[in-house]
Amino acid sequence: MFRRLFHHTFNISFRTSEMMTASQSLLSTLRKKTGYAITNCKKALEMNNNDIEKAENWLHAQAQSQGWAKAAKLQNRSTPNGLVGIMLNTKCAAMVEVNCETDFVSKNEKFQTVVTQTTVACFEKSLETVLSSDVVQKSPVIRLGFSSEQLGALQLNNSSDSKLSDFLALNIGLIGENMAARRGAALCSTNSNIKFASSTHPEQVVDGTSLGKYAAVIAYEEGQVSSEQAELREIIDIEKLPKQLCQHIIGMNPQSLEKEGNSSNEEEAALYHQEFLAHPDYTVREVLDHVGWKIKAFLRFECGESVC
Amino acid sequence: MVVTSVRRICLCSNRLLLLKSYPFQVPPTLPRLLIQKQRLIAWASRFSSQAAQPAQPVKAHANIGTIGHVDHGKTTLTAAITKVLQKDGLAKFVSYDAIDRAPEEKARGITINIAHVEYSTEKRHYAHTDCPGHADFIKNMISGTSQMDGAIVVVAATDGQMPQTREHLLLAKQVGVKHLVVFINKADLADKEMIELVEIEMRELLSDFGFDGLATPVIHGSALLALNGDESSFGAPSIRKLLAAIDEYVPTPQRDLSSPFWLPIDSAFTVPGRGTVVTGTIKKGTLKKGDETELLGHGSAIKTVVTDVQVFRKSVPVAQAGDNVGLLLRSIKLPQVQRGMVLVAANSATIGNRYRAQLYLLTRGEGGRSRPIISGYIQQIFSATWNLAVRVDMPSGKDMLMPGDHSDVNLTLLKRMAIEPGQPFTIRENNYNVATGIITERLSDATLVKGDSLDKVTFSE
Ligand SMILES: Nc1nc2c(ncn2[C@@H]2O[C@H](COP(=O)(O)OP(=O)(O)O)[C@@H](O)[C@H]2O)c(=O)[nH]1
Ligand SMILES: [Mg+2]
Repeated sequence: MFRRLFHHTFNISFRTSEMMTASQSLLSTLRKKTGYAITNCKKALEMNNNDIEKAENWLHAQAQSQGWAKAAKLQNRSTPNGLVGIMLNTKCAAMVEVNCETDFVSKNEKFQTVVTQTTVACFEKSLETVLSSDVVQKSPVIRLGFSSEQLGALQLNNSSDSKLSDFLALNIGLIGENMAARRGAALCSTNSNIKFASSTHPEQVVDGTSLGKYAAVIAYEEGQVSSEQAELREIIDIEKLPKQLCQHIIGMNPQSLEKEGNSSNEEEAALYHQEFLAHPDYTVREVLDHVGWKIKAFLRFECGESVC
Repeated sequence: MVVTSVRRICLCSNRLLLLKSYPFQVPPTLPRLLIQKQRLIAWASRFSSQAAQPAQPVKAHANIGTIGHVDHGKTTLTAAITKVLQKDGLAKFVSYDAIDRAPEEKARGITINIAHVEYSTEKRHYAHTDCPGHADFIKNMISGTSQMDGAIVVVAATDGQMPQTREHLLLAKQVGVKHLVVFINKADLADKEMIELVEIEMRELLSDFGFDGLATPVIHGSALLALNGDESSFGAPSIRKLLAAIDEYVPTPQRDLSSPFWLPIDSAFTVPGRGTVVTGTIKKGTLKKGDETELLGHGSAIKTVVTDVQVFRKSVPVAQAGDNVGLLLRSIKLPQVQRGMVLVAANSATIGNRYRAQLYLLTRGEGGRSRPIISGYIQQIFSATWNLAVRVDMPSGKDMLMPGDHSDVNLTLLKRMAIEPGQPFTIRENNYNVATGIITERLSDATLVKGDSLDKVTFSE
């Protein structure tokens, strides 16, 4: 045991002293500063006669074009993982799904920034669309949908000349995995009676955006209490209710608000008929009637789910 | 972290025997009773047959695996190791494709994508897992299917450490892997300066994550060259260097003889004229004839003295971890002994009804639920040789668990049991596995408001 310890220490001290030169080298400094792959840092120094400042600028410029090259190279790799992001205010609630290859990367900070930026861009666009006069608001709540291409064409909010697709490519280059902004959706309303609530699961908040593997949004209207129930008054926490309704939608995956036909399958899939997740002794309708709310519309994203 | 190291200890007595299937697998109630019966018969026949099984000299065994960023060469390296060892007749070559096409595997009901490769060095036998993704890694850890004693961190000299390298190190730390060996791969594509820089970065990174960055062996090589039979220094010799480093740096898991005595009771019977005998395999510690012990579980804790220790029907003065024993207990009546109890060194353990655990909720596709669970979920828990009603509560800040989620949870048992951190369990609904997990920590007891029901419980967080 003692010998082994000694052996290691000896071995290491020898190695580190030998390597001091490398650790203090330009290559090491540049790599530490920029975080780009070692091969690229090396090339940057070679191309710029070991001028570290020039090398750094060169690296940043290369990163964008390399990102596009890498994105092209990786575009066929499947992206089953990722995150859903939600952003909302009093007029609009937007959500997006951004995919990556492994769930390691879905925990990566850079990737999460991609998701929050995509969410913000989708949110701003939705808000702009609703507030602009050329959309005639017939129903109290408007639904918007975004395809992958539409998301890619959105402006990145912090720089006017940069598109979301550029940002995505840059990060594909940096992270080394294929990624895709898959879809977006929003519920909007200019009617001040309509309120929005959201939840993600597992919930994580990054820069004002909620992230998760699942997300749900509801648009609801508070109104007259139609049938208050004494037992419910004890167990319903009105502050928590909007979020609980969203969690219910995430967990119970309703397909519609109300059943249209008479089959029991439809009843199971209709939000109003389902047992309320937080208080399974009551249906969602009983709980909503008790507080006098009406859910006007909802959205649910599950990361990686198949969509028709 | 502490958790898994304890689990490792409690599994080590069995790990020589089983590579993939670990103890505590919980068969359904009926078959388990049968097993119970068979063990009893086996024990009784051992009493009469006297057949001592000569111990085969077995090579020590260790579980290892490859971790690191995607495309840095984990799978190539795994194939290369078998290629190099095949030459010495110590392994069967497993091709890159065979490893990469790892079939889905069912362990305790969960589906895990993972490749198991087996090989030996002169010193040890290894079971090697190539971990494909985060989800698989987590499931693997929670189900306790193939826990790693050490891991090879693969990092490409061309890239240096990348996001997944860091994530893997964090996970390795969390699952209690203490010994890592670094393989700087793709050395054929890099120059000396790059390789050295990567080595420095890796040592720093290891220290940041709480590993011994200075003592960790770092080997430079090329898995691809080695796989292609190249004998230059970055080829096959680099793989031999790597294996030698693993042999030396990753310790062989030991039977735990220093912890207090702990025996999970398999069965109990009465020997007329002498008293009650309990049988089982000692999980840890040692026991002498005359030692004071305690019979724990199902709400009771009974002090007793071991008046005779038998191994293969012969009275012995002492027995130790790994031994299958029969113990004669002073003034214990047979009905006092229940399935699921443990016999422990006096005052070394206590019973409790509330535990923290890591839980994985099976997906619908894995035969689990299609709907989430929320706090107050009550079902049957199966662990070791017992099953009981259990209540699952989410930790604060979480409201529900979706199928496919894993999370910290708090468990409340109907009866107070003796459970060690690291003990795996499953939760079943109508005889279907819906969740699997490991106990990570004992919490202060909960009070069952109604006494015999888990509907209402109170506890201090
Ligand atoms: N030049 C070179 N290429 C390698 C080496 N090791 C692996 N590769 C290549 O790197 C790619 C990814 O390797 P793989 O083992 O699949 O990486 P994994 O994702 O970490 O399992 C494959 O195309 C390999 O052929 C090496 O030592 N040198
Ligand atoms: Mg691989």
